[in-house]
Order: sequence, then C-alpha cells, then structure tokens
Amino acid sequence: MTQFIESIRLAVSALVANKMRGALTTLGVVIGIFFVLLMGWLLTGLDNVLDETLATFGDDILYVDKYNWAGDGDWFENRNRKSITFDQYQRVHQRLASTAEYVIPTTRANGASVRYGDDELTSAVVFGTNAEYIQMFGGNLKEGRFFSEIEDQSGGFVVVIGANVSNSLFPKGDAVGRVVKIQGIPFTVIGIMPKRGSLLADMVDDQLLIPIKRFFGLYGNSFRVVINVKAGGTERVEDVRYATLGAMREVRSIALGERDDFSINTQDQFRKQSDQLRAVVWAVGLVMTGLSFLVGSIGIMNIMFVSVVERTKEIGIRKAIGATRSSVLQQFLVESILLCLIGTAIGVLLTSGVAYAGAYIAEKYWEIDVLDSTISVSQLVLAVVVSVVVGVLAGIIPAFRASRLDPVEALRAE
Amino acid sequence: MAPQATSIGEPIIEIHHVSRRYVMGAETIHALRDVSLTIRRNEYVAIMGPSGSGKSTLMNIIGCLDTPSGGDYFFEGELVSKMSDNELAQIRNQQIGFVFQTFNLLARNDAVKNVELPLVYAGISRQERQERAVEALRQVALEDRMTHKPNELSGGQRQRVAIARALVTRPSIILADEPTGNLDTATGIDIMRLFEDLWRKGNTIILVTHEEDVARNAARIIRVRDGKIESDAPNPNRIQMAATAAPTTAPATP
Repeated sequence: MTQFIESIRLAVSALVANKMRGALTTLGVVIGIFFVLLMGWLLTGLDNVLDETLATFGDDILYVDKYNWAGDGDWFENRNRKSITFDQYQRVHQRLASTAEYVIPTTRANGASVRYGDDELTSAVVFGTNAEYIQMFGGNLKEGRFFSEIEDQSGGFVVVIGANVSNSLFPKGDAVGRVVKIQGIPFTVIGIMPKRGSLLADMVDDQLLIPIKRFFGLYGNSFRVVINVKAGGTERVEDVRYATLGAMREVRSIALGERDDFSINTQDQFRKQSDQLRAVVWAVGLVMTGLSFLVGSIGIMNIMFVSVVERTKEIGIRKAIGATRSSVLQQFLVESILLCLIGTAIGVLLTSGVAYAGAYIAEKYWEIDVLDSTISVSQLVLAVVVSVVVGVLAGIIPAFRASRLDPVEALRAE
Repeated sequence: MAPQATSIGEPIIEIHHVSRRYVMGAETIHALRDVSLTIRRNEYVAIMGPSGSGKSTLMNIIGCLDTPSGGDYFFEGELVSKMSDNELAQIRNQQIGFVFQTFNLLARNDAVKNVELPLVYAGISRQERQERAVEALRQVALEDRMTHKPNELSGGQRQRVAIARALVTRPSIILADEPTGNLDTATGIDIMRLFEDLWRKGNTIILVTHEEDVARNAARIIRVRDGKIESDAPNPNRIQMAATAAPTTAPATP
C-alpha cells in the first residue's frame, strides 16, 4: 500500500515534470472518451424519443392499415391494396366488440387549409376520429373538452386543435370557443391537445381533430381509414390480434389460402426498427471510439517507452536501493493509467459541456426535450473502466521492459 | 594498526572462489577469477585497483547488483549467489547502503525525499520514513538543507545526502564507489572524515577506489588486478582523520 501511494505520487510528479508532453499524449484518449460518451449521450436521447414514441403508440394497440408501417414487404404491393373503408371499420368493430377494449377509426388529410381571420395555416393535418379516441390514449386535454358521442353521430362542426395550431392561430391562448375555417367551413374550437414535442412522427401538435363523419363530409368517403384496436392489456394482444386478423379477412372477403391485403401494425415492429437504428449508431460509435483509443494507446505506449529510456538511470538507482521488479512495473503502469485518466477527465469535461449546451439549444430552439443535459453515472463508470484498461494495455510492455532492466547496466546510463 | 573505537566482529561477507564471466559475442571475458575474501563487522576496507582490474565487478557482486558465475557468496551467513531477483532487491534494500561517485540522487526530489526512498521500498509508513530520514540527515550534518533539491546543493552536500540515504536503513555495510571522485580535494577530505566518523560509530565500510590517497583512510586494503586479488593486508600507513563537527548520535548499526 505504501508503495502504491508512492507510485501515484511518483507518477504525478513525473507527469507534472512533462506537462505539455502528457497533454499531447492524452489527446487520443480525450477524443476516444469524447466519442464514447457522446455516443452514449445521443443513444440515451434516441432511447428517450423511442420510449416516448412507443408510449404514445401504446403497447397493447394494434393499427390495422393497408400499409405495413415498419416498411416490411413490397411497398408497391402495399400501395395497390384497397384502402380500408369506414364501412369495413364498422363491421370489424362489431366483430371485435366483445374481444377488444376499444376499436376506433382514424383518418387523416395532410396540407389542409385552416384559417382564423386573416391568419392561415397550410401545413396542418386534419384528423378524423371518434369520441373514444381520447379515452383510448388515456389522454387529458390541455384545455376544453373532446367531442362527444352525440357530436360523433351528428358529425358536428367542432374541432380539437394541437398545440402548434393553437400557438400559431391563437398566440394569446384564447382558442376555446373561437371559430376556425377548415377548407372554408367554420368549426368551433372546443379543446386543445397537450403539447407532444416535435420529434414524434405523428405530428399531434399540428393536428386538428374533428368527428370522423364530418371528415368524410369534408373530404369524401374514399379516404383511407386506420383501425385502432386496443387489446386492453399486453397479455391480450395475441388473442386480439388473432381475432382482428379473422375479422379483417372476413370483412375483406379473403379466401382461404390467399394472402392478407392489409397489415396489423404493432409497437414491436417499431422496436425492431429502432433496434436496427441503435445498432447502426453503436457500430459507428464503436468504430470511431475504437480507432481513437487505438491511436491514443499507441501514443501512450510510445511516450511510456520514451519515459523508460529517459529514466533508465533513475530505474537503476531505484533498483540499487531496493526496488523490486514489481515495484518498478507498478510505478510505470500507474503512470500510464494516470495519463489515461487525465485524458478521460478532459474528455468527460468536454462531453459534459457539449451535452449541457446541446440539451439547452435543442430545448430552446427546436423544442426537443429528450436530450439529457448531463452524462449518466453508468457511462462515466464505463469511461473510467475503459481508460484504465487502455492505460494498462498501453503501459504494460514499457513497464515490463523497465522492470527487467539490469541494475548495473541501468546505473551506467546517463 | 591504528586504534579503533569498536572491535571487529563476526563475518558479514564471505566470498569463496567467486568468478564472473561475461560472454561478449564469441569472446568470454573473465572479470573475476577465483576470488575469496571475508569482511567482518566494523571493518574499514578499501578495494583498490586500476580500471579494468575487476574491482567494479567485485563491488557489484558484493553489493548484490550482480551475481557470480561461479563460487559461493554468503552475506550475513546467507547464500546470496543463488538468490532470486526479489530476494536480492531485499538484501540491497535492507543490508547494503550504496554511495556512488555521481551521487545518484533523484533530481525531482528534495533531500528528505531522496533519503526516504529506500524506506519506501521497505514498506515503512510515511511518518516513520520522514523521522528516520531527518535523523539520517542530521547524522551527516545536513539538517538545514532538508527541503533542498539536489541542484540546490553543492557536490559535497549532495554526497552527504547520498550517505544519509545509505545510512537510513541501518544497513550491515556501506558500499562506497569512488565517493570522492567528483569532488574537489577539500570536500573530498570532508567526506572521508564523515566515513571515519561513521566507522567509529560501528559501521562497516567498504570503499572502492583507484586513488591511493582515498584508500589510505581504510584500515585494510585489498588490491585487485586482472580479476584476481593481488594483495589483502592491513594498512600500516593509515591516515587518521580528525573528528568531524557532526553531532554524535547512536551508531547506525544496531
């Protein structure tokens, strides 16, 4: 123990004596640590996005559409399928009424024209659904109310607007009760959806939700319907999926042996996709990290060799007065590890700065709130472990060489 | 023979028919051939010889820095010629105090840290190390230079630090290799006075030198030539140094 403490003290004084050289040597390690932490930070952000996305999808909801959302299969074949109609939805609903918790139709039209007074939105999304939609997602409104079953049945001229729509048209926040024109037709705003953030693909913030009957009144009956089936618990997903498959095949009159002309989309598909994305980020990150550490460790090995040669005489003196091979080995190994740890510390500081600034900028300018402003403890531990390993690997050969020096020869060195 | 303060004791170093060969390419160099000698506690011995005589090889073997090619070497009754690297390191650490011609201090460490160094390898606690280093520096009359680094000290002071480092483990022998070789005459005399003083306090001193003036301080002179002992006899012409101003403390050897 005494010797170990002494090794650290010696390593510090050796490094202090060669500050500039040490700083340059650690550059590779600094970059390596920077990459590994940055990658971890981005992946954490990515995970947050995916978790939020998946949470909004719900883990027990099936989305029946003519398209396969995960992009599996032939897109042209998908496109040529017949859209699911509202009539088909109703028949599926009947068949699943006792199996699923909710069966809800949704439909959407992009690029709708929405006006309030002289202000116009052109990139809004008009979204048709029914009253149960808000219950199915367990969502509360930010303000006002969702449309009722009566408004569903009658196809009322009422609209629930997304956060961005509200901010654009009603910057004062007095949207509820106002009348907006969708495709020239007046609708009364009855509620505002809570803000969801801009990273999610469903663009809820840009949506105007209206009763689906009214949607067909505006756009015609041919719009593609997506059937949302909530199983009512993840353990029921498989049963409900099977029932849905049967109902859809029956409603779509698919003969035995013929292939489905629709897809039942689930969260799992997105998980699979996101796992692929993660794997790519990891692979790229690992290659970059690996290369930086390779360069870094070669740099450290090189400087340790120089250090051993420069201090041959010192090694001789130490051996003459009783240093064993292992204490010389330890001394140089500690020095090499310390170099790596210094590099790690600089890398951590650098990444922390980038994470803090990145999270702040993303939040402030792009309303992306999924990035952490700090590096997680587990990643710091990983960084320290990696740098100690690199320090040992880079230092072991020079340190071993130092420990094997013959004291008589070493003392003769100048 | 000059009178001494303490009497000569039991053998510390017993070398029996030791040889040392170096193989350099096709050639074999016999640095030592069949050397035998005994050195007892509290002797003051000079090993003399011209360069190339084998005296350095003999010193390296006595100092356990090197091991013989043949023959037996007993240190305090233990056969060191068959010891492992670690055991030799331990002997060097605890039984032998080296003093070198070029001082061999660590430039980045101050006097106290330099003197402490052998105790670090002996695994002694920081506080005890410091106390013993200070005590050793006091023995060489350097108590006012404790925090000076080697480049802030004169040659003589550096050699005193080196001697303190050799004393601090209370070794069985002090092995000095041309200890005055890098010093001017007056400073050299000072250092020789210090050795005299240490000897009088009971230490065993082995001087390795090629200078008659230096060897004349010792009570016994071993002359080496061509790898053999040419003569080994008490020194009839010993110069007895006057006592130094260094404060007297307990003998370094227990």
